[in-house]
Amino acid sequence: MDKIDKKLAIKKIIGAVIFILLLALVLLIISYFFAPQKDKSITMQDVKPNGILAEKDQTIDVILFGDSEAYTAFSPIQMWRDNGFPSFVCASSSQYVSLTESFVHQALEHQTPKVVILETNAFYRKMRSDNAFITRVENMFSVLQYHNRWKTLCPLKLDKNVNYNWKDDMKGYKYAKLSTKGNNKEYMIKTDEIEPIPETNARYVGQIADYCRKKGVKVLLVSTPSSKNWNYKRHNAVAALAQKIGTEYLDLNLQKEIQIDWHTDTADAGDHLNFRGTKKVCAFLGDYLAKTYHLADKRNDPAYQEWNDLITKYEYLTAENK
Amino acid sequence: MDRLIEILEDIQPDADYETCTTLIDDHILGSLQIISLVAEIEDEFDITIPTVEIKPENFNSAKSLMAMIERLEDE
Amino acid sequence: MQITSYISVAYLAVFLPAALLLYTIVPKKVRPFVLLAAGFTFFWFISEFLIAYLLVSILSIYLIGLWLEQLKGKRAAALSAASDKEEKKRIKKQSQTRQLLVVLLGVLINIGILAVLKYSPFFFTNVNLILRLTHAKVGVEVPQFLTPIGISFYSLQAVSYLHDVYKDKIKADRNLARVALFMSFFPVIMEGPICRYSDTADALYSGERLHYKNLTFGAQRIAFGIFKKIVIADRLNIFVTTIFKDYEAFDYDGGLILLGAIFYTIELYMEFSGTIDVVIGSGEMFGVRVPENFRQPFFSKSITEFWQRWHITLGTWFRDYIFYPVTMSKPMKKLTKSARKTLGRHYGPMPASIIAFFCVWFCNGLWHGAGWQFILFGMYHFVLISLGSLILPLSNLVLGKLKIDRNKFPYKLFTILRTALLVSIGEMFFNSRGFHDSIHMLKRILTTFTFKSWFDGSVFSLGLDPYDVLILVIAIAVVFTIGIIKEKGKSPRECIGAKPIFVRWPIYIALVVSIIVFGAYGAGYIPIDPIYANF
Repeated sequence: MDKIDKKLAIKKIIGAVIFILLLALVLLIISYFFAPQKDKSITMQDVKPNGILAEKDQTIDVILFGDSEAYTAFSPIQMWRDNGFPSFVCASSSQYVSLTESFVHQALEHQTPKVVILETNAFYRKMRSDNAFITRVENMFSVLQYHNRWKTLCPLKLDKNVNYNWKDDMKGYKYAKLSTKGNNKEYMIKTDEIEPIPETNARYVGQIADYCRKKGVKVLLVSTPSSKNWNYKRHNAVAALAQKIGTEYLDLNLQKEIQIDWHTDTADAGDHLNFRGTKKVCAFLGDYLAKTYHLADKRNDPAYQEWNDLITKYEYLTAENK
Repeated sequence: MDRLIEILEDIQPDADYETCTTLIDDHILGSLQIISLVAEIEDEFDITIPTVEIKPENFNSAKSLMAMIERLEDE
Repeated sequence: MQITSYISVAYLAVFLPAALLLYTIVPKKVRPFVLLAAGFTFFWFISEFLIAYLLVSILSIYLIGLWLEQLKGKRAAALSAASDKEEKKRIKKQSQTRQLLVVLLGVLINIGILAVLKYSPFFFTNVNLILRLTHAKVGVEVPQFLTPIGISFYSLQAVSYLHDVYKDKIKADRNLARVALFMSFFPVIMEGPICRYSDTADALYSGERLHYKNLTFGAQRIAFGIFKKIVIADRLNIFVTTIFKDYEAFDYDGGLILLGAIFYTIELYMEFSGTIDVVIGSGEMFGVRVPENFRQPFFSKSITEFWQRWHITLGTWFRDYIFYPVTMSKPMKKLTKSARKTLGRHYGPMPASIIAFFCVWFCNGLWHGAGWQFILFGMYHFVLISLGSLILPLSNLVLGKLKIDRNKFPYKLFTILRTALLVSIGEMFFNSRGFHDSIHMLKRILTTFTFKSWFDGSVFSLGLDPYDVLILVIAIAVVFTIGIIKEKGKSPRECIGAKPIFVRWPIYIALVVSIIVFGAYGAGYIPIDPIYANF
């Protein structure tokens, strides 16, 4: 290779490096704008688990994490209406426990709930091994994580439809009205067998529990009713895990008094609950949580007037299925 | 060559076969026309055209077609 | 590290850079083996022990290629020794039969593996269905196989290699490594394009060093592919899955179902051509020109033209290895000749080509998947293409009477839109959950179609909000503009590359940033009605 060639090659390499640095710089600058701001005027309406950031600091008593099982089964407004404690569901579809951990950290920055609830279906979602790495990169370039906020940052304000607005007012719950018939065959058949939880997932759950304990927050593992996703082998595994990491465990699949009717209470033949099922679960869970964790009734607290206003809206939006 | 042009004109009348060199590339001859063309040429010149010869290079112009025919006649 | 697709962090950020790095630091002679090792590793990551099937295919075509070559050598020797014409003819014929048997053996091995792994479950399921209909008490057990990735693609490559050797288009390769590399180049192994030996084998084996221009051009192409996939296709997916999965439960009307079909067609194009952009870009980085698979298909004016622009390498494969061999077989040629005498110029070649079209489209349907909806998909195109040919004289007559000029813009636009609509219906069959759904959805479109649901806001209840729609419109407009530039015969990359740096770089950066910001990915991406999106 003669001199000119070499010079040219070096020039190209330098060019490429500058280009990549420039790109990284642009991304970092954008990340600054995309990272969630404390400023409440920019709430994250479209990033549901982040909706908790829009709540006033230190106002939420129960925070629930998990995947679609969680946001279809837990309705904070109903529990507020009937039991008077404020709660929030930080769930997203197909949530990985690694992501749950990030959400827990984020939520506990501004909130100190009495109890954190982890829905257990996500424990069985196998993580791709590069997820932990991706999460780290995402933290650095927060635009990767919060890119969808362009919708709120967009100077062009588009009309959002009704569906979109009530999402926020549901405190993380997602209303499902559809009902697809399932069957009432017994799926919790007692056994001693165990379906092991993937090791990395179990480790993450342990870490979350430790973190909460340090912050003085209790942790409760909850399995929502799902004839499709849950069984006794999984129950055994989660019960063992709960014991190991020193948390409580409540398996709603075994609570006969909830009386889920799989003919009418599921949105998709036993996978998720519909609103009818949600009502039953929250009636039970609301009482259980209020009693077990001595949650104060705040319905008459003027600071929570907003929550009372949401009840009307909630009832209106869910009316057709009453 | 004249016989070939005659065949071509019978199959697809609207083209200038003396000069055109993009019969395939410009879709003047589609697959249907090619089927007819092969059948007619084989009949007329008493040759067999194997499928490997059916490629754009051979069918793009009357000239290249003629070259192919002459080559196959020799075999 | 798991590679699930070409558009994944694992492939783009780890596998491809690692392969490039390794390729460039080893001596020239070793480079082909780096590519080969990368191909096998890639295959192993996804299919593990099923790589055995690939190895069988490679070995079989290598050996059968050599066997054919040997037979050809013998024939040449015998021919030069023979004196009179009769003997020569006899030798030719004898050798021809032998070669045919050998090549058929090779095809049988390769298509046989594919047939057993991919189609036998479907076949036996249908056998059971028939048995049940005849009230027979017996049933066959339906076998289940694990299928290696890309088998539908590399099997076709194997057959094309054998055919081309048999027909003297190429010489059989004595170098096993080159044959193996041709069969297992990692960018093309999962989703094609289906390469011919004469296209890629030499470039793959040359060990050419990496060039700056190839790297940058390749990277640009890859970025554009990712853009198509994650900004457009993944965004549309929410909408599309909702419609296809639950059109019945939610009682969507024909208008929405048709919209679902159109969106699905766009999604499929963006997904598939985007992946192919990544594939071709990856090849380009190594200096290997992988054949193009798409040429602005939605500018097509007929279904036939569409298939010359969409999944091109599959179309040309069927053309070269099924359509022409069938129409050019002796009995078909005879049929064409006699038909031309009785049916005339236009209809003469029709009987032979309709038979060939049937073979092509039956295979094309089956190739896309083992299921009746795929056969329906194939037959739908068969009928459209055959009908198109049959009524051509009639439509010419009508157009002439109405004084419509085929070459005027309004008519062209009409044919383009008509083609796109027909294609969308076909893709709807393709994406439906089964034969029953295909028919049912079509019925709904035909009986309950209204434009009302397009504008009354129903669209926004299916997972897309107005912002998503805005981004879709802009992104599709970008892809469309680039399509027009290409359609005019210019290369968008060359055009941008010729611009000064302060124009060029912002464009590249904008592309990457728009992927990151507007891509439909990540945990925050929650569709409005998530029950029927992906959990």
